[in-house]
Amino acid sequence: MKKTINCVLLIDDDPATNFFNKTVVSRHGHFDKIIVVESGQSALDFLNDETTIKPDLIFLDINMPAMNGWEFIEAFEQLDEEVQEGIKMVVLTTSSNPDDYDKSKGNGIVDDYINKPLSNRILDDVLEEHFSLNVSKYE
Amino acid sequence: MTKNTFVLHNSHFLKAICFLAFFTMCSIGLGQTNNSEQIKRLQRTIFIHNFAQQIEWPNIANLETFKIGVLGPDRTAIDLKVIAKERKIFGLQSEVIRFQDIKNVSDVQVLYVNNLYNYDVNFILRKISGKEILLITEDYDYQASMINMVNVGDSFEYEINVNNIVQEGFTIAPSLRSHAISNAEKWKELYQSTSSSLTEAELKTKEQSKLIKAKESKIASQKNEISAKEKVIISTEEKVDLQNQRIRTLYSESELQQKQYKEKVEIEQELTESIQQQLKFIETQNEKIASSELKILEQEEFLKLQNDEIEEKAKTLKEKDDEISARTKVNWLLAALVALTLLGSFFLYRSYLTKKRLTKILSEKNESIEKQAAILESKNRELEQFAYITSHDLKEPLITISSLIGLLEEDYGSKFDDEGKANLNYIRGSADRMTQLIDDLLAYSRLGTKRTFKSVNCNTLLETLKVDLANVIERSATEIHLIDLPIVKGSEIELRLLFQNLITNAIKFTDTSTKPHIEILCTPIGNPDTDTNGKWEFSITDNGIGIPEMYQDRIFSIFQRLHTNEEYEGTGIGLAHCKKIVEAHGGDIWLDSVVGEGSTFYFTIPFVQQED
Repeated sequence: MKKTINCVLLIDDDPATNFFNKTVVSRHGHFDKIIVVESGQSALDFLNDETTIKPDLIFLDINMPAMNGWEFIEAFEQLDEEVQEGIKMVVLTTSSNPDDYDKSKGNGIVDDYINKPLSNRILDDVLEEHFSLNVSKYE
Repeated sequence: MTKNTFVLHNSHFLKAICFLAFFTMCSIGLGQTNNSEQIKRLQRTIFIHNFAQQIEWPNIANLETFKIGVLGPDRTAIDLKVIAKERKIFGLQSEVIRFQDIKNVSDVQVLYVNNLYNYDVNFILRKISGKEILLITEDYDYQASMINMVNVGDSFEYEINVNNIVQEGFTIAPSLRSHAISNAEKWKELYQSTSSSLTEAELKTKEQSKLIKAKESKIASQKNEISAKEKVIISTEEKVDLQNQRIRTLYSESELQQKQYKEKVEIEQELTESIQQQLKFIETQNEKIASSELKILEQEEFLKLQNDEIEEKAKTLKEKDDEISARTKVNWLLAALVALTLLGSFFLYRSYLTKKRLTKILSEKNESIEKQAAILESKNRELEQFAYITSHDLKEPLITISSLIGLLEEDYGSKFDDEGKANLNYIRGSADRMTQLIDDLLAYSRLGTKRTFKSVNCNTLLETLKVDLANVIERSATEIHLIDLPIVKGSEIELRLLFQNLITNAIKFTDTSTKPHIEILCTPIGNPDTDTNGKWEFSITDNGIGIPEMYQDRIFSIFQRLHTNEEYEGTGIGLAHCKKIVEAHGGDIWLDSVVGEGSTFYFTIPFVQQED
């Protein structure tokens, strides 16, 4: 029996990146549902919508127009605890800026900080780290 | 003929008379001189005897003989001896003693000295003082003598110095004193009057003698005939008679002289009286003079007082003058001082103005420089920010490209032919290289954005670095030799990057056939404990390929590469990093290199770091 994560939310302003990320995540095969949004506001709207599925994991890009990653995190904090509860927040960025890394470490919302590009190995590590799923052992 | 004979006879006669007359005159003259001298010698002795008689000798009773001393080779001694046979002094036989030297004079009652022999009367007086000797001098100054005899014509006068006599303890008979003459003027008068009476007497004598001669010549002529026979008989007797006659004549002449002397005394007395009157008159005059002198003295005193007052006033005046001149001087000095001060302040003001102007210019320049520096700084920051943001933005699509290429390879790799696969490889390689470039650029622009200085032990830093680079070091068989490095102030991350870049460069740019050898040294420039301007100088020496001199100054520029990627991999940012790090620490970086032998990179880190 293959263990899966119910839902993953991908937030990135670049459609190409979203395409790539969605491909990598879907090919990994441990995520039942993949939601892709192109801005922070869209993500917030999705989360606030009671009719939609609640994600277990968010991959968040930092460098975005309008609302950047950090602004999204601030807005996310303002959400109902019910909504926040159970969501793992992973920052996925091209930034090699140590400031961003440090900022992530000091933030209570951010659970992980990952440099692009996303890969199977990164996804394996994330599942093992945050969901205690030893994916590689299964395969 | 007869006439001639007569004439001749006559002339003979006249000659005979003339000769006779001349001879007679001469013989009379001679006779007179001899006579008056003899009289004077006699007179002198009598004078001396008389002086002795008129002194009261204190111890005359004890004397056996009255001794008279004569100083010098004086004939008076003989004369005195002659008279001593006939005359006594106070009933005593007189004895004459001759002295040649004043020092030997003693034990005499009277001492006679004539000025002819040049004895010093003062000396004599001093020598005989206290010996009770009466000094009789001749032709000396009476002031220095006791009794001084003075030659006046054919006779003597005398002066007495009462003080000197009394001082010796003698008492003078008043007669002696009254007959003494004590004034030079009187002497003169006396001499004149006596000499005129003497000339009269002489004239008389001459007339008489003329008569006598006339008679005598008669008698002589009468006797001439007779006398020739008697001559031989008489000649001896005649001489005796002549002698006796002379003595007699002397006596009679002396009597005459005595007579004349009495007359002189009378004259003298008259003179004395008149002198006394004169003296009285002089005395009253003196009194008047004295009283007028007193008045004069009073006047003088008054004058003196006035003078004193005047002097006092003059003194005050002078003091005031001095004060005024001093004040004038002070005023001048003050004026000069004021002038100098004005001059000085003028120059000071001028230099102040100049300085102010220059300072203004300087501050303006400084301001503009600071402004420019600020502008440059902000531009630099902007540029860095721009580089960072740009590279970040560039990187994102690049990553996507790379990622998508990966997907493409994964999904369709097997479907590409060889050319297609090679093509895909080039795309991937370019994308990777571009990623690397962007990463380096990001790292470069990020350098120094967050820098913290602390003490960094270079020894431990290099030890850990060696561990991190162990792979490369082992693979290239590199020897790293380092000698006791210091603890420096700096950013640990940056210093680590600095050493890492330099070491990896050294390894990278060494021929594969050569074993890389790296030596790291450090020397302090200045005293690290005290010198705030000092610095550490590090050197990293390798035995690599070296860098041609023409490229040495450009290798520190960003993305400056000297080799193709096929020769030596790299983006050309390593040394740019190094330069940026060293300069961020306030140091310098440079190198020495010989192509084919190796390079030495030097950099300095100051002892003290200034925090931004």
